[in-house]
Amino acid sequence: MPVIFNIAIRNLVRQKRRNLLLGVAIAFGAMVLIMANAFSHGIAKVLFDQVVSYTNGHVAVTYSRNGNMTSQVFYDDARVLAAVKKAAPPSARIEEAAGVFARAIGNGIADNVIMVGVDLNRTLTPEEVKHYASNFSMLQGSFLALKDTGPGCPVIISEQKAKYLRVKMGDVIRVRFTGVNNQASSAQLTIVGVFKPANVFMASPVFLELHTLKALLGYGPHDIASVRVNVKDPQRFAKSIADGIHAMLKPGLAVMTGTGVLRGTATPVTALGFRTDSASQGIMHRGVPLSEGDSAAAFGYRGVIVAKELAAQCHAGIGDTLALTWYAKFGPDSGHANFVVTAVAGMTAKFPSNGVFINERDFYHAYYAPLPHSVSQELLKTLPDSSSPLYPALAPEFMLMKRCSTTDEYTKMMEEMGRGKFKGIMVSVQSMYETASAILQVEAVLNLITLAAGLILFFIILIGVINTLRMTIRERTREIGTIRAIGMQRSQVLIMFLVETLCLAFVSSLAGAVAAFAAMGGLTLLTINAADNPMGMLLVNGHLFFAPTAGAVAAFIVFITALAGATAFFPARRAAKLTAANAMRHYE
Amino acid sequence: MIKWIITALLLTASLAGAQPPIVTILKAMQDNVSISTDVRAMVSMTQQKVDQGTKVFEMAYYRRDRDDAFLIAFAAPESEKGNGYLRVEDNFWMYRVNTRTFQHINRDESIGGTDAKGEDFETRRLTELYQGETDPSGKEIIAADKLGAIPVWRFQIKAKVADVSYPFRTLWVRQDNLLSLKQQSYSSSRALMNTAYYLKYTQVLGKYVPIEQMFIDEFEKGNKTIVKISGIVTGKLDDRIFTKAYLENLSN
Repeated sequence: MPVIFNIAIRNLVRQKRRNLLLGVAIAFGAMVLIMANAFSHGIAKVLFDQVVSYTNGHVAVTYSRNGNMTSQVFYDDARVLAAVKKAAPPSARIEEAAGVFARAIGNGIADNVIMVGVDLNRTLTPEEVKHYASNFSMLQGSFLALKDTGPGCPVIISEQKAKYLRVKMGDVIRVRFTGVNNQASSAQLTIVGVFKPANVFMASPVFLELHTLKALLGYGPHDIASVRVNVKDPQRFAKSIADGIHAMLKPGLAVMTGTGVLRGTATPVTALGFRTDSASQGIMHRGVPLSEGDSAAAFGYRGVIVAKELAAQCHAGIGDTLALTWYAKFGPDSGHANFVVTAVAGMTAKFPSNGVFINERDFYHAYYAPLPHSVSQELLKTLPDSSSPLYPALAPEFMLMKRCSTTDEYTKMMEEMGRGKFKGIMVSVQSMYETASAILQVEAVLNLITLAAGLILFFIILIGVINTLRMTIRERTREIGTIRAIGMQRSQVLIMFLVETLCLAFVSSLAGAVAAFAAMGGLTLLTINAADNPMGMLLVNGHLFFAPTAGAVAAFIVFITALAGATAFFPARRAAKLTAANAMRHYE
Repeated sequence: MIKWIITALLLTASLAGAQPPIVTILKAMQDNVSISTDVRAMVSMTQQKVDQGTKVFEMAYYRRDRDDAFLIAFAAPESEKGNGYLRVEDNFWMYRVNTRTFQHINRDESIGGTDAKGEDFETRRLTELYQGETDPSGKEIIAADKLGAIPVWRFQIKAKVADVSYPFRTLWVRQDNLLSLKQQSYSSSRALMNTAYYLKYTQVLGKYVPIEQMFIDEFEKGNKTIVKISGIVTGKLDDRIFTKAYLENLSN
């Protein structure tokens, strides 16, 4: 075997010029394949790492109240964070994400901006520091100046946005936006930094410290915005983390206990909400027998039904106002709301005699302002549970949307949420593989296109390889006859030619890989100004971004070597099949 | 009867130079304008924006009093012609004539690219949304004033509920008939966002309807919207009007 290997190498060296040209062709093909793959992988990486993970996160918990998708608020931060921390690994980065579209006025000119919150109050990991440093290449001011607590709200802004709004460091921009309660809000933001955006997505937003932004948007101290979870290996963990959070966020029945005043009589009251869609109205109709009032008004979207015992105790009836006061879950505050009684009912067996059913619209208006204190387990046992036929018609603490498996499903779910048929908070837990599966498809398509283009190029080169081998064999037919005459076996002739080709292809592929890395390094150094061009999204800090992987490079080298071996096999076998006499008689 | 009592109280307060309670004025204001019957009208909205020029929107508006359902069908501009909106109970649909499709939308979304939202067409009682604002001493912020030559009550109100567009407002209301003449709306940080002028009223079934209003954007100077209402017809409207089929036919 070493003899055959030596002969093969000697043959390669003997045909220097031809093999060099052949090697260059193979190396070029390998280089193109590796670069194309690294580029498409780079695009996907930019989209995921720079865009998806910082807009959606690998896993996101989002909300919608009354169908309003801009109302990203949940009134119990501890509950969401507990579920997220339990489901996510300790190394996961858990962030609260608040943002809002706004109209900004600079110096005599207005533009749309997105106000985005950056949480600087927590301890940043070295990776996050590195990320912020690469994304916020500060031209003026400091990123950490966002933490300043002086007058005005500190903000940092991209150089493009600053130029458009004709503002500079220290200037004030006025912004108008809709707060989390859907109220018109405004603020004055002081520019404490101007940065060069890492990509086109970073040019439009202006960045504020998260807690400053939350205060502007009207979040309370225990309110939480959407939550993003980023993990090291999202492909492996994202879906299971989302499933875990989803499982832990199961809502219970929404219950308000407090003091009700009816016709001047104060009495303890237990209030539940009921859904007003037609299916729920049917359930309520069957499960709550009215003793006073019209069923259309009682179970409609203005209905308030009081228990017969409660009405009798307070000598109250239809048209009377129930003034309800309840203790808040957080802080010393209490909530107050008035409800006009539309019906009186003999309640079901599993409902307290001081019970009130309130239509979901009015109920949720009260329920979240402020969130009522949790009810005791003893009281819960007296209320309809999930086995009760009435339960599906009763208002839950919030509605947990189902997990989706594709972007299409997710889009349909968002449309459903947007209809606003449910008046409370809707909570959605999704991983980026559902919310951004389109980007995964983009990567797959890009990979396919680059692979196809590379392969076409490579097959053209392979035709050259086959042709060269055929020429080599023809030229060396008499030599084959000689070595066969002095004792070389047919299989050894075959192996000799294959070793020649495999060695040439392997060394050339390696050289191609080295050339690819050199070319990628060179192209990465080029600065491309694509600020106003959508293609700018493919750039990182104005540079092309390649993401070669060791696995892909190794796979391409193996693939090219194997393909060259396969193409060499048939001419080599034909050469090996020649008898010594026939080969030696060969003359051209 | 209650209306007359409120009017008598307000007139007495006015003659005596004392300020009436704000809630009394709010009740009288909503009583002044609440028409308890179905209505249809033509609405013209001229929207002037600094960076977009002037656009005129024209629409037919139908409202059913029983359940506050409404239907809007656009007649102009050309880009919106045939499009429409239908709200019945909790459902709010947008109709697009070019695709002949209905799509569920949220009440917070813009109507036909105007500054108006679905919720602006809902009938909500002023006293359920706002209450009089008080100074640190607990006294309501109300004063007798003049708007031009017209004696008015100028007072401040604040939102009682969260889901109103503007949490604070200042109103100028005529002392004689309690019609609103001017309103300034403020953001939660007390920045002046919008000024509305009620330029002309007409009487329908004994109630007042503001048929010409002007809204000035105080945040982005130069933007304003003028709303004119014409062709007001009251009386029961056929239930078939508040259906998708009707909106589709109306748009074709």
